[in-house]
Amino acid sequence: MAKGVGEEHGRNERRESWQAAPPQIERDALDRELDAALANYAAVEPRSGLEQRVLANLEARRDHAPVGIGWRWLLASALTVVVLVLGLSLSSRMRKPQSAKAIDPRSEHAARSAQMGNLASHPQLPAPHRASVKAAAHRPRNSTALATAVPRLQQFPSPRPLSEQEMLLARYVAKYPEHAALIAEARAETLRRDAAEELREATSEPDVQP
Amino acid sequence: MRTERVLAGELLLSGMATAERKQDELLEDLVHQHSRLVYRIAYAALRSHHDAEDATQETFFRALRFRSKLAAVADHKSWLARIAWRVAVERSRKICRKREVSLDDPENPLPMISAESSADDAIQGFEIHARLEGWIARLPKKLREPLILSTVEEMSPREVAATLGISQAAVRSRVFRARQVLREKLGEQAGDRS
Repeated sequence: MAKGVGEEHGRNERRESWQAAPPQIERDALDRELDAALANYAAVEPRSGLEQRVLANLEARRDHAPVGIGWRWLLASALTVVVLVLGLSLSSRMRKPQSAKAIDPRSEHAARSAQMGNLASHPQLPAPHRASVKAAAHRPRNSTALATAVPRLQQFPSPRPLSEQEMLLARYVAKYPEHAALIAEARAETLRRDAAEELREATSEPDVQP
Repeated sequence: MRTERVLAGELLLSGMATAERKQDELLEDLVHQHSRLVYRIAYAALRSHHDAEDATQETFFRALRFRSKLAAVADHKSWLARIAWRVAVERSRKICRKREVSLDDPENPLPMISAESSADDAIQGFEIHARLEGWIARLPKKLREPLILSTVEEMSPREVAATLGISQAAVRSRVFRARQVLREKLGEQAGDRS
């Protein structure tokens, strides 16, 4: 009985050791088997016409696909910046004649005082006109207060980080310098012509006398 | 003056159209070259032709969305493989077809092959295929993913590593370990048969 149990135990041990370390031939056979099984596992072909279906669906989707942050945004930003630049240049041109008269706060105050004095010395002026002049003299000058509240900087315009649109435009210019150069040339030419036209109009126009 | 402005705008637009045309051509080339690879990756993860085709389509839709950056991509094959893998994994999560379970999951016992079938029949037949599917599905995710990507014939270890975001050495060692597990299972099955 004891011998039988010992034999059984020995057989189990042999089986365990065989399972733990299969011989080389067995391992090779298992590897081959596994390779074949894995090859079979991955052997799959798509249904015929996959490319055509994908391309057709892409074609259908293309019109509705957002193109990341690419061309359309760049173009929109570039156009916005161009419009802004145009607007600014026009407004600065319109302001130039006014700015020629330099406004000194002290002289302005003196002028206002003089105006008030004139008002006092001319009682024949209509009441509404007098009221409006008084209101103008006593109106708080918010713009001046705001300007003095902001510290004066060494450089004008004060340096500040580029806005998103400016960065986009800069990226556009870096990426497509030829286009940017063409647009810049066209813009410069336009400005030159505008200036020449204005000059011609100014010289040819007769002074309008009252 | 106005003509020049229009001209500048037209130049800008024509440049834009040219760039878009080039992107479209590039995307079309990618479909021709890599749709099979994308499909196989998707199938390896999803194990369903229908889902794999949908995932292939979705992969190229994503590529279309980023077509403006296609020219800047250094390795289109790896890039598409990564997208395909991500799409397939997302889809498989949605489907909940793949469940990560331990190898000795008592709730999901592996089906047994009948002792009567011969070894050749088992290798060639449906049963071994089904069993392998089961074994691979039960592998831990860490081992399963490199293994199933490595079975896609177009994928090199470098590309598998790039797709999974791990090192090539890690890919090799994980595939080796996964194969070891599968070999043990095959050995057990062969032992049971004999």
